[in-house]
Amino acid sequence: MKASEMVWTTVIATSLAVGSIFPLAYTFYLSLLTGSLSGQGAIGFLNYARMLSDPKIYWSIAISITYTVLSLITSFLLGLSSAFIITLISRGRRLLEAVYTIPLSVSPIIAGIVWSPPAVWDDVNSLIHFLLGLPFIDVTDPLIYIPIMALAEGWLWSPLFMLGSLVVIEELPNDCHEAAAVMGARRKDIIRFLYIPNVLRSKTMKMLLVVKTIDFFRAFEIPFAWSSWMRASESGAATDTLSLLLFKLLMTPFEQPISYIAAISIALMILAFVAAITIYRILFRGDGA
Amino acid sequence: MRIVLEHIEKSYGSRAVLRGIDAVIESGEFFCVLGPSGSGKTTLLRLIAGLERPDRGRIIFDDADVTDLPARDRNVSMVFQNLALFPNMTAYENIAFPLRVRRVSEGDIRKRVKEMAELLRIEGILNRRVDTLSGGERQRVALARALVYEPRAFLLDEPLTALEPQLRRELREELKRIQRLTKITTIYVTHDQTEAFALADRIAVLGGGVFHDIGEPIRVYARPKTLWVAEFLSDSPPNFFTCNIGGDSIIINELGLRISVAMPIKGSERVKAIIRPEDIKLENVGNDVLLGEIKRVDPVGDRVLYEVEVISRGTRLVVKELATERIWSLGMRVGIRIPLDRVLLFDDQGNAL
Repeated sequence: MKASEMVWTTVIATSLAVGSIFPLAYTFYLSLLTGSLSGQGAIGFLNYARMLSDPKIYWSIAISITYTVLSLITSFLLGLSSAFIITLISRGRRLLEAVYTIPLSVSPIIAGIVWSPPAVWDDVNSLIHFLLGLPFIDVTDPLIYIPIMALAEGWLWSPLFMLGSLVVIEELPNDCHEAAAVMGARRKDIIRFLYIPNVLRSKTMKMLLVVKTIDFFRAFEIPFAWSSWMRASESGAATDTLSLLLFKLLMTPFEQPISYIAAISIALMILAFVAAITIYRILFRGDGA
Repeated sequence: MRIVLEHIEKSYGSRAVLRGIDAVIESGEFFCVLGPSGSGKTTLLRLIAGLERPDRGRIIFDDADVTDLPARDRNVSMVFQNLALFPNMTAYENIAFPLRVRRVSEGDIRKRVKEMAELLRIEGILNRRVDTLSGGERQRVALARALVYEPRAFLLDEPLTALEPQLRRELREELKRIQRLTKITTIYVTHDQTEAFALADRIAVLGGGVFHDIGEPIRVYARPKTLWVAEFLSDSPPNFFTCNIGGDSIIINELGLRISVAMPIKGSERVKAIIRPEDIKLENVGNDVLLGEIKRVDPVGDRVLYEVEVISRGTRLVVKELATERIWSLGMRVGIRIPLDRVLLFDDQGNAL
């Protein structure tokens, strides 16, 4: 390597490191201050200690975890089913693939709107109430709307899992399909005994699960949209994932000092990271990874 | 199960791969199809498995015509050249697959996979993913998967080609043992003579889309039915002569040899003769043998290839002898003994006389 190249490499590497570490380091630094308007003094880990006794934080962590788990399950199942439907049909396969991929290009906030009470549920309610004579679905009940939010999230991200599954399926050598046929397998046997185990154990799908765990844990847009429908503008509502809680706290600066918010964001990051590592460890156990 | 192939033809576009294959494979027989690459071996196997349909001809299993039956309904098994094991799945799951497809209960599956694993000596690796197994282990898993559901016929497409020689020999023996034990009708295609001769009850030599010869290995080797087979079965370049016919005998001018034949030769102007390098013996110079001089010595494994010039005629012969026998060195004078009954003779059309 020439000296000039070395200089440039060093400069670029350093800026990248500083660029990614600085915001984190600064946030951490902020979280150690009092952050009161009267002046800033260091108070060490008191903000973190305070967090431990804040019921809103616990509530929010519980909601984030529930939301993450439900979203993972729905997006995974929806994605897998669409992939298998695609493998079952022989004509118009590409078209169906394109149709199933559409949600991926939808902005998450739009997903929050598309699946909202005024867009869908009011009509659904009219249908089941007036046509079928059943009671209304109360979408203002958190036990109803949290799963609906997760469904919206799952719908939005299902194409990712669908494409992942299709990649795994298409990577199976043609010989495997022929071998399966000679062994007497029909289409549905191939899906059940060949595709499903292969998709579930592929590195591609495991990686997608890890990435989406972090992603769903930080979910913001869909809960934000639902928070508006539910008129739940105060912090600590049932829509409040950790990201949404942070946002609400930031929007009401006199409620909490900035240092406390910084502490929450650091906690959020650590939680998401730990969750991802845990899932990674579980999924890749025995893979030598 | 008895398999009958009736005048099978198959083309891909304008390329005719099989041009009329006829054969009867008896129940419990180990039948080897031997042919060079591109001779249509794999195509033939795929037709029997039901992965392709013939353009013409019929395939009969016992008494049923299965020509149009899809692969999954034929209840045969096939081991592919690259094994076609299912990636991301364990050896156990691979072997259990055909049983799961047949809706065998999990308890019975466990029992039968265990039996198969014992037969193939792979009990220890059942829970490992197939992509972590060695070549030999993968091979055994593929064989177990193909045999576990007791198929009516066992088709193998050069499954041992990719292995190192020692492992190959070992698995060949294993395969033979299991085939004798299960008495399953087996069709094995290969381009490797050693493999075919070691395994087969009968060999069919495939070339240019037709069977040139079908028979027991020893007969096929000793008395090949066509010139093409004789050349194909010779792993060193055979000594090849065009001979004249003189009454009831054939004369090889280059060697001054006269071979008398029992029946007069009809419909053929000339006769082609092949003398295999391994049939010629070298010995000390004597009275009743041809005189030659060693012109080249090439050791090849356990054999030595010699090029010997016949003195006063200039003809060169290739001779193959065991390396454990006396080694002749360059320039030595030797006696060349050619057993006349081992000279293979063919007419103009290449058919054995």
